[in-house]
Amino acid sequence: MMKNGRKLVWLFVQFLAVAALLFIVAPRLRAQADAPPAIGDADDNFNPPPCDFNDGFYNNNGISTSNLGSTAATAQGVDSVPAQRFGLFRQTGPPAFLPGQVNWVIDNTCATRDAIRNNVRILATTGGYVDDGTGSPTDFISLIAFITNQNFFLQNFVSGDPSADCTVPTPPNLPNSGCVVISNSLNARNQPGDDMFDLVSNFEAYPALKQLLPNGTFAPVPCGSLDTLANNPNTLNPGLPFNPPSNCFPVTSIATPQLRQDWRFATNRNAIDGSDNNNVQGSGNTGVIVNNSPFGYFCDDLLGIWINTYWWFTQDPRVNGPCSQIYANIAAVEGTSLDGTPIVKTAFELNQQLEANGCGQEGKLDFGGADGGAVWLICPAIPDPRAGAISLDAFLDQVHRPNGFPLDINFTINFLSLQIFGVFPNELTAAQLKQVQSAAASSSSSQ
Amino acid sequence: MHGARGKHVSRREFIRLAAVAAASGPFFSFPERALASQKTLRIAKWAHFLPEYDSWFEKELASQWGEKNDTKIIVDHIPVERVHADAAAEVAAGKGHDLFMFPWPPAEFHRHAIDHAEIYQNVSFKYGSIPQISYKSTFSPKTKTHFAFADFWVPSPLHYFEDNWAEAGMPLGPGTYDSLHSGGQRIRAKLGIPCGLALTPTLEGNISLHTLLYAFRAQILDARGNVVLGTNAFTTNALNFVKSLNQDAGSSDELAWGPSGNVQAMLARKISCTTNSISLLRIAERENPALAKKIRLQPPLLGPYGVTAFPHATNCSSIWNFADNKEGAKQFLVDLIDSSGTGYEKSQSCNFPAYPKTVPNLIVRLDRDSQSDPPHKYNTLKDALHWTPNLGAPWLANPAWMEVFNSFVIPRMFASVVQGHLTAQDAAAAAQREVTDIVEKWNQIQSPAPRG
Repeated sequence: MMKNGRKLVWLFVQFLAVAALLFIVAPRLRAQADAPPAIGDADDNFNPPPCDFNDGFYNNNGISTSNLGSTAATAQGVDSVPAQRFGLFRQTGPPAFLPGQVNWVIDNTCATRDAIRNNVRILATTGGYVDDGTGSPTDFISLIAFITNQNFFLQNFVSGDPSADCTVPTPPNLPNSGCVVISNSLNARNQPGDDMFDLVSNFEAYPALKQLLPNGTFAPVPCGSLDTLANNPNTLNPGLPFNPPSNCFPVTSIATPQLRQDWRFATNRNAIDGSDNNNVQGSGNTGVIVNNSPFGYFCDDLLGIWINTYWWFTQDPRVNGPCSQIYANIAAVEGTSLDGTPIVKTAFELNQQLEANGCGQEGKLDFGGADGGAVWLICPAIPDPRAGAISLDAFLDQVHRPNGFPLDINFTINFLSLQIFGVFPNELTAAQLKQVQSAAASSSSSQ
Repeated sequence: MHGARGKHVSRREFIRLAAVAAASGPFFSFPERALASQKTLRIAKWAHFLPEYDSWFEKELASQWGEKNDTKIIVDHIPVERVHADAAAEVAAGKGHDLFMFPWPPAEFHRHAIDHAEIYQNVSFKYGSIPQISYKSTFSPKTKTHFAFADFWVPSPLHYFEDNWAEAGMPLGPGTYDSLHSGGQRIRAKLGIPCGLALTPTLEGNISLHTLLYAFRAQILDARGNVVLGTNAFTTNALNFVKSLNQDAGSSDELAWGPSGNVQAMLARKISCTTNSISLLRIAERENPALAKKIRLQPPLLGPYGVTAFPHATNCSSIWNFADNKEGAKQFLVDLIDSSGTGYEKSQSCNFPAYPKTVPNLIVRLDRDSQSDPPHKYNTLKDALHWTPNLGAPWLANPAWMEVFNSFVIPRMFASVVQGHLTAQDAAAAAQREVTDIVEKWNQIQSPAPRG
């Protein structure tokens, strides 16, 4: 109780600090609205804050809005209980962390601004490291719903312009223009003509679940289908001890309190022309292969769906072993997570430093829902978080230490800068930057 | 009148007839002399997975080209498993066919092939510059030459029975290697049907296991040509996964199949899935449409490195430097590209053109495939180019990499772990030594070889 109380106090201090900063700067902001950096009025706040999609948009992109099914394995759509869609579920509770704080509000301007949206505006803004090699804490996303099995991907669906004949065509004919036809369990005729089920495998989000269990034991494998002999630490690295059965960490929830560090997202996979070294036809434009996604996140993955790549450490960081030095090397650069394991921000750290040495591992949950957790996420990234996209009533969803301080204050600084001034910190004036930094520091001064 | 006119031949007609007679006379009078002057083009060609394609290639494409170019064409179809040995025998003898068509990049034979840059250049005037997959499959940075000409490749998607995988809650297929394991385990437990990756030293085993290795982020050679197979945990991770997969969801048959054993097992419904060229599905459509209807296609399984699968075949044609008819062979390859569209059709969409302009409506053709039941299932292949790296990736198909491929180092490494003869770490270390020896051997070989 004492611990929880202290956490709440400091979270409240953080909240007050932000409120105070808003109070101080708001009049000045109005006065300088048209001077850079942009802030304030309509011509500056041109990026809309995030809202949920309407049901038709989900369906047209191959995702069911069914509310049927009560378990991860039996759920059939984003309106089901296991999907926990904003607007239907989770108005309070994680990711919200203050009493009475809400994750979403009803906002009738959403649909008028953008016809593919409904009226659920998302306040919970989850931070993540961008998977571009820098590990910058600059990704901000809306964790709208969880997809727990394949049934969410529509297998038979027809819609379209009422004036068009949208009946299922006789092969080899294609659907008429203006029609969306998904048929025969193929999930292959969504709006852009792509197979959503195949497409979303190209976009990975990396949740880092706590491995330090409440009883103090460190679990080096996930529970469920990934708890295999092949994933046993001793199999991956013979220098590590054999992990006894059932010493595993749960994968049924990826709510923020279950995370040991903040997310990492692969939103950089967005250049179909190869300009990001995307390997469109064999190599990038500089000959260096960074990734091989043929799709663009913002242009193809219209619902912002990710597949979750769970990743974990194979050695207890509290004991000496073959991975200790590797962990220490990464921790020296990035710091440590709530588990005492190093924070990982980049693909290089995960793949080349950890996994290449058997000191880390990754995996995806069972596509049938057998693991009980989120296999995919409806979790669109905010395309441009500047200039109004982070509204004044939004809050940052990030991993906090037990005392309530943020694990990575850089998310806090970036978020406050975007929320209050509409720009990243590198675009702030010196005075503005100082204001943001002191607001962020006020919530973490006793760390 | 008519008869009288027939007897009268004008001076002009007489001269014309005399000229025709003079031109054709030797052939009619001395046919053996005419045949002796006709050129011959000898082609060795890997036997395609669909015999219909080979029939068209020999009886229509090659035959018509021979007539047009006054060339006698001899086409020998060689089973895939014999291609390497037959090519090696020709190289050793310094004689054989003029043109040898391989189902993979013949980098090992680069010293015995002409530079095919001229062919790529000729083709570029009509169809654009060399495609990446062709470049990376046929270019030798050591000699700065192209040892072959690659005109098509065959994607290797996952085939699975929709009804089997629906039993595991995955009607859209396993999607990832992790779900292949967990779903495959449930299917075998429930239906007694194992999943069916080929693990044998065959083309199917080679492609499946090289693909899996690459998807697990393991590489044989890095981009600088260094041997990295056994230097990290990626390879041991892949080895442990396959062992676990075979034990929990597979069968002993996976280690015993001969060529196309996985195809036969699918057609007999003895396995729930496999990776292969779509020739598997085409055979099913022809022989058992009801069975074919239950087979679905999916892009390659998602692994730690992404969605990726090596091509089931990369058609690479090499003109030997000891060929008798080099010029004819060159012209044949240049002209061959004009038939890529027909080749795509005759191969029933197996052969994806290296030059996209030759089949500009490929996506529409896949989508409207007339054999597809249910419709649109070939649509899955529309992005195949994006998930298909060249053999040799992340670098080029070089001689050492291809010798590793053709001597089945990788299937043998996997088999030793799955059968329990070696631990994953020991198997990876043994393979590392074997690959290192191969690389060192090729480093000592001078290029090019003396001309035959």
